[in-house]
Amino acid sequence: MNVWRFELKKAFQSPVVSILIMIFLFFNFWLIYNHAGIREELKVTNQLVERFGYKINAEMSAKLQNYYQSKLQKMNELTRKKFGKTYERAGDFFSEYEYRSEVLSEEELHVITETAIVESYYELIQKIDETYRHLDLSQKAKMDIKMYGLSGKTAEVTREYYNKLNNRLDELIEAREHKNLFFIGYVYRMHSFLFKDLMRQMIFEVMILVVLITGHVTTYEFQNQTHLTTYASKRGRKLMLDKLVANLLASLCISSVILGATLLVYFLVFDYSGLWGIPISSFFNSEFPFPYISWWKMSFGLYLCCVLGMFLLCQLFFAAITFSVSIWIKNSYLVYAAFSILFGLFVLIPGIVPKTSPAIFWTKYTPFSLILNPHLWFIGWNVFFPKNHEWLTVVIWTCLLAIATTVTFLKFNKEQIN
Amino acid sequence: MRIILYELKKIFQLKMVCLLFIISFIFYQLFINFYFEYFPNGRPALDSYHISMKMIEQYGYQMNQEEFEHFKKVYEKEKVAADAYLQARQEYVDAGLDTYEKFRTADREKQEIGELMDQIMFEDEVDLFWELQAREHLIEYYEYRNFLYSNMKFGDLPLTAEQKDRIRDTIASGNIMSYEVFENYNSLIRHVAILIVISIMFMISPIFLQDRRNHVVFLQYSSKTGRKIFNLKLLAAFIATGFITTVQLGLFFILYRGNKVGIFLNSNINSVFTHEVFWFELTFLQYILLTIVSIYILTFTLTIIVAVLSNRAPNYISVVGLQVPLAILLFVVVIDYLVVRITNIRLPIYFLPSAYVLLILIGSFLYFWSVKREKKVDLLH
Repeated sequence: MNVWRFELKKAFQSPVVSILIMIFLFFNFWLIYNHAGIREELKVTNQLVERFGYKINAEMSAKLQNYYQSKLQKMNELTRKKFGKTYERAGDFFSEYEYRSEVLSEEELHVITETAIVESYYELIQKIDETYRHLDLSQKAKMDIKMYGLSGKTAEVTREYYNKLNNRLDELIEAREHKNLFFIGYVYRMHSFLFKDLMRQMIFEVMILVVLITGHVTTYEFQNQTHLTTYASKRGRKLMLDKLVANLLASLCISSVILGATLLVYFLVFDYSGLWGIPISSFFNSEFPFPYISWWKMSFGLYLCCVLGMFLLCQLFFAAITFSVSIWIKNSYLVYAAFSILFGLFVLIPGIVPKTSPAIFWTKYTPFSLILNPHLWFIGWNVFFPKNHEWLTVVIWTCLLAIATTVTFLKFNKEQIN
Repeated sequence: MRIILYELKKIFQLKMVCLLFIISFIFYQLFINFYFEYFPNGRPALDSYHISMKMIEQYGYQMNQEEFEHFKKVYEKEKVAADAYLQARQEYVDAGLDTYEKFRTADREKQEIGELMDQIMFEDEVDLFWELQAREHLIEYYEYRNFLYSNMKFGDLPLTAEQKDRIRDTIASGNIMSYEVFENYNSLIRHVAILIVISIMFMISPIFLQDRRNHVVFLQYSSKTGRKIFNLKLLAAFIATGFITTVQLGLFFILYRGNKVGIFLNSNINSVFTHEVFWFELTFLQYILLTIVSIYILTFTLTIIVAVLSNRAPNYISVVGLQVPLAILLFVVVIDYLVVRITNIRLPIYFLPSAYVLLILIGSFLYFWSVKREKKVDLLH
């Protein structure tokens, strides 16, 4: 217990760790701040959900229409008073909006904006069925095959993949998973913002810290030339075990500090109240003509938890990888270089294997490939995001790293240390 | 002299050179190779590159109104050829796509029309149609050249009189330069600059720290050379930086020759076709030289910063950790403003010189501060 504490102290005593945490948090807050302009508009969604619930059905749709009509009427009263003009759609107002901004007070403008947003919801709801009817996955399979230049066996895999995704899509439509309100993805892109921009940034930040700390703590005795004393003591070479535990603990600590602070601010800025139970595959969450289709029915809250879980697991993998490399190399500077090279290689390899070989699929089962697209975890997007991608990666790498660590321990136990 | 040689040997240890080689290779594969392999990227881009080349061959490096009329005539002639192409095919006539005009404005959303269009553009890749599209863009750029006035604004700031003068000169000049070539070079040099920064950080970081970790520093400071070793090592670092930068740039330009941009080297980059205006009448070659010079200044300043960090940091985690924000600053901000698109009129004319003066000042300040500190530093604490 005591040893762990001392090892953890080594991890955090260097001022550079706290400086980096501060800088990284500043980056994250800056990113959120830059995106915060839309927070008022997002609140309309919360109001709608509070008023009508988030499930879209005929009854709800009718209520929404009434609400929209009354809103539009109110808006038209306002514009008639101000400009002597009424509008059929609130959206039309904004095509001429520029010239009128000075005439309206903040509050009046807000009324019009709100009407326009309710209008978008109303109009988009009418389009849902049509959009999903037009989704042609076999067409998408063809496009993927052409775009990535797949052929033979890999093309077969692609077609199979889209068959599977198509089944899931049918199931999803059957369960009316897509008919739920959420922030309008086409406009606000909240899914990309949270899970791609912010989450990926955090993954890289924490990864940098984890690698720095793990390399430092593991090679500490060799770097400070205390190895002859420590590894000759009673605890002896088992000290490496303590270092491993300390490294994993430190990784979790760093992750929770960065994640905790950033997400706290994020959810204070953007109000998600009432939206936690909405499925991630909702039509309104989609940002491109092709919607996000999660492989399992997942609510936003559950999805966030799963992503956070994957986040922590990936960081633990990075810590374990660095740990194994450190025992072999024993010089923290070269460890950092080696880790970057490993990272580069694992990202590079899937890109250079021949397109006809199934290797282009299984070389992607690495944490390094995984962290490049956190917004597509558990989601069927294209052939490189299969259903079992995440958990299989986790299982494979847990085994691989367990073996690697055991081998390095065995090697280290018998090694000539001087 | 001998010490510098030994220091250089230490910097260029076989191990480090091999690692640098691997890092550069991976970086090339991941970020740089794309701009060689896919240049020009995609279809109208390829055609517009060829057409720009033809324009220079026909009209010289400038195009006047008369030559523009000729250019438009060629477009009309090709359009007639496209009409004939369409009319020769029954399915297109049946679908109401019997002229190029109709073909361009047809509703892609309709499935059968979309398929017919895809047949020509993507399946058969008919050169004529792609070329027409590229010519259309070029004509548009020339005709709507006043668009430069709004394009060259920095944020919401209104244009100053000098900026307007430069834009007017550019519009009047009719310079021909390929947008594809220019953008391709900018993307390339940006990534090459990043690679050079990484290389230098990687190679120079251990320079002082290594000696302190090995306790060689006690021997060095008590020898005849004594505390002068700081200057000698820094000099070695400078030589190493110059060498690394030169080799990286040299390799890059050898590869860049494969992009075949020779004819554009004498083009003026102030052009309505590049959508960019610069403070000076630079040819593409002069612009390339300017970016090279700026990379050298940047790397030498960076060397001082890294060397001083290496001299002060207690361990590798600090020296690497402190360079993380520095690297982010360089990659996200500095390289974009001080290497890529330099002397662009979006920024004031005095921005670039003052930025470089500031950089050099930071470097010299750090240097003198370290020298002063070196003179009385207590080695045992």
